[in-house]
Amino acid sequence: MKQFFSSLTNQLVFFIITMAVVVFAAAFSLFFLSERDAVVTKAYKLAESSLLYSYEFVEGNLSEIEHETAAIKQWLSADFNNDKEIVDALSRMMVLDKLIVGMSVAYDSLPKMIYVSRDSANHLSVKLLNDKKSYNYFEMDWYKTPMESGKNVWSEPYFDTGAGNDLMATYSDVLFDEKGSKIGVVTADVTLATFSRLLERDMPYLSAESMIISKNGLLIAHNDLSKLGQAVGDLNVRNKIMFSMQVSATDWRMLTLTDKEEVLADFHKMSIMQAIIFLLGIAAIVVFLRLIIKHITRPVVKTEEELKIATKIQMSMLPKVFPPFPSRNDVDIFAYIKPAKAVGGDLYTFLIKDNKLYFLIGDVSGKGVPAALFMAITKSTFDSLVNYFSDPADILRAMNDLLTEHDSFDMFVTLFVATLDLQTGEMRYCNAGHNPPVILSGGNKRAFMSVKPNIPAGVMKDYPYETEKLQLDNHTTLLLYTDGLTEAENSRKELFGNQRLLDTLANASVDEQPNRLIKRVEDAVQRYVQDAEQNDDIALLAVNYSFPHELRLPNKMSIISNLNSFLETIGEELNLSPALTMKLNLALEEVVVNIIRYAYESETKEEQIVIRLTHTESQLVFTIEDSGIAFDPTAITPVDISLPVEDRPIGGLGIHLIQQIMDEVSYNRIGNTNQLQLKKIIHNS
Amino acid sequence: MEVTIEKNSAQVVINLSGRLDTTNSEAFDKKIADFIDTPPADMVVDCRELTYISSSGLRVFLSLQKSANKAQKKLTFRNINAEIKEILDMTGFSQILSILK
Repeated sequence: MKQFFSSLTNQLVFFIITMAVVVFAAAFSLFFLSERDAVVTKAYKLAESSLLYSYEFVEGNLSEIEHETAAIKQWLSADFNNDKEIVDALSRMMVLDKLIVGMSVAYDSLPKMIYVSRDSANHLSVKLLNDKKSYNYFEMDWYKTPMESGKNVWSEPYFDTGAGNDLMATYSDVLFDEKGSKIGVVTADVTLATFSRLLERDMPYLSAESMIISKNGLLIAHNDLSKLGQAVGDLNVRNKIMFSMQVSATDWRMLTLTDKEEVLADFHKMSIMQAIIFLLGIAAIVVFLRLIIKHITRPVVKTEEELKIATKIQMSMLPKVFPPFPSRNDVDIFAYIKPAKAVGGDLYTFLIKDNKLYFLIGDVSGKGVPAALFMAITKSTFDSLVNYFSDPADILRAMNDLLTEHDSFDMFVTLFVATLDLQTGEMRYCNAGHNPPVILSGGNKRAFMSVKPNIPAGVMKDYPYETEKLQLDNHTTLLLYTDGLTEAENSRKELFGNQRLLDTLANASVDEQPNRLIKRVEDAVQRYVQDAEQNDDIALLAVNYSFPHELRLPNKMSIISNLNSFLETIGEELNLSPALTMKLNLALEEVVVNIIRYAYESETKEEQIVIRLTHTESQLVFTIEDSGIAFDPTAITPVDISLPVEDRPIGGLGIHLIQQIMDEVSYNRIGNTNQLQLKKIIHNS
Repeated sequence: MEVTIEKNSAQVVINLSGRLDTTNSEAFDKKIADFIDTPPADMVVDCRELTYISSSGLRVFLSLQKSANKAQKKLTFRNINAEIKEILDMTGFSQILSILK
């Protein structure tokens, strides 16, 4: 994924397409929702218009029946009390209205009911009822309900088993006398099959159901006749579009149900098509966008690629092979650099020359390409200057001269330049406005080095940089860093800081391998900043130093055996031949004997002799230090070995042996100490 | 460092073993002081067990050689190992001492 976003083209395409998808998707959803509403609304309209036709028919027929019973009532009240006349009136009405399959007049005062019915062959027949035994109509709903309420009612639908097994409904009209008392009812039995057949026509959708529902929720009419008489509650209304209207003559409702799915089917098909076109469109845009952006950004991409190459070149300027001195046991180094941008202005370097470690860390002001170039100049200047100067201040002054030569650079670099005499542990350093290194040494000492800050190089010509000195203890680690470390920010813009750095190192052992030490610091910073963006380069350089093999001897002849075991140990450790070990032993014995005899003059006052060994693959370097009187053994005239035995002097053999065994012998008087250095070239198998 | 001395009428054999260095060369010198002062007969220094010699040891050898020469007695060094021989070569001692191969 990281790989994908590293390309500028991919980044641009990704963001543009994301925008496009968001905008289009929003428009599409809006369109989809409003269009769907429109389709549903249209379905309602369609249901309404198809239902309206049936409605008018039903409404018309029902109100006609109501008018007809009302007319009968009027006739009855106009002294129409002859049974025959009643039968005639009912019959006439039934001839007129084919919907009516039966009419009756039933009285309340005595069991009397006149009933005219029509059979399936359209013949009318009359029944007269004078007793309750054969048919007790007082208990029937069509009679009881209107008589109790005094209101005309339509009955619930029912199946009439007598006349053709049709679904029927009865309208009951209450009869009143002149005084307004209820005296009976006039009824009309209506077959409802007509309505169902009516509903069968003009269905707006294939899945549509049209129906008429009674007050109590029974199906009076339905386009599917098999459902007649069922309760409306049995109908499945989930995911249906429902349209209903009240039939005003009755408490009935007319209802249309249509599957939403069917209504929306075409719309959904169209939406899928639109979505496909939308996706194809996006894909096409991606392709074209890539082509166009690639074309437009070609120069930018080229610069980006060149920057990557520049980063590689820049990084290759810094020592990258660790451990850098695998054959040495006195010094180990590890470094780490993490530029905030492609190229950075932090630098470090180190090298060993004449058994002296030269090292440097620095931070160029500013960032990016200019900083990187300035860093490259700084680094190569240092590299060439160490060939001419060995003192840090000399090096720094020369660097400053070169960097201030061109005022137009308007850039500067903070530097910490140091040398470490690997033989003696003497560190010389000179600072140019750089953060003081942290020093880790025995007794849990973890502290910032005391360093004169001075000013960065490249700022002021002829600034008087001066070398400072520090004698390192055996087993000391120095951590050099750039301010990208201490000024690393977390997401709350708080700095990592000096204290956190010291705390991080508090648990580190003095002899912790430099790579582990740096990993420790690196992890601590990572934990601190989390995902916050790195805004400055970070460079770390850890130098771990321990004295070379060292032997401290008192000025007593009796300690010669200590020297013996010291050399046995070295011989074993460095895999030297026994013959060589013996010769080295001999040379050192001669040196030590000379010191005890001549430099200290007397064994009575306790003094010390220090022997140190550093080595590389090809040479051993012994340094023998004493604080006796100035005594240069190389100044002793060596014995003339060609003399015959009689003329041989007793002395002078020692120095002769030393010079024979060693490849180079040099003497220095430094302060109050004699320092004799013996080099031996070795050829390790 | 161990020194054993075998004497008979014909010669004195001095057997050296271990390290002949500054710490014990004086003791060695004392032990054979009589022979240095007045060499009684021909002398043989057997170095079979000698592993190390420093300049102070060489000096004792030199004194012994000098007095033997003076007294016109024969002094030979024998069974010298390669390492010691190298040191004798370095110092020119292999020319002034009579070394039995």
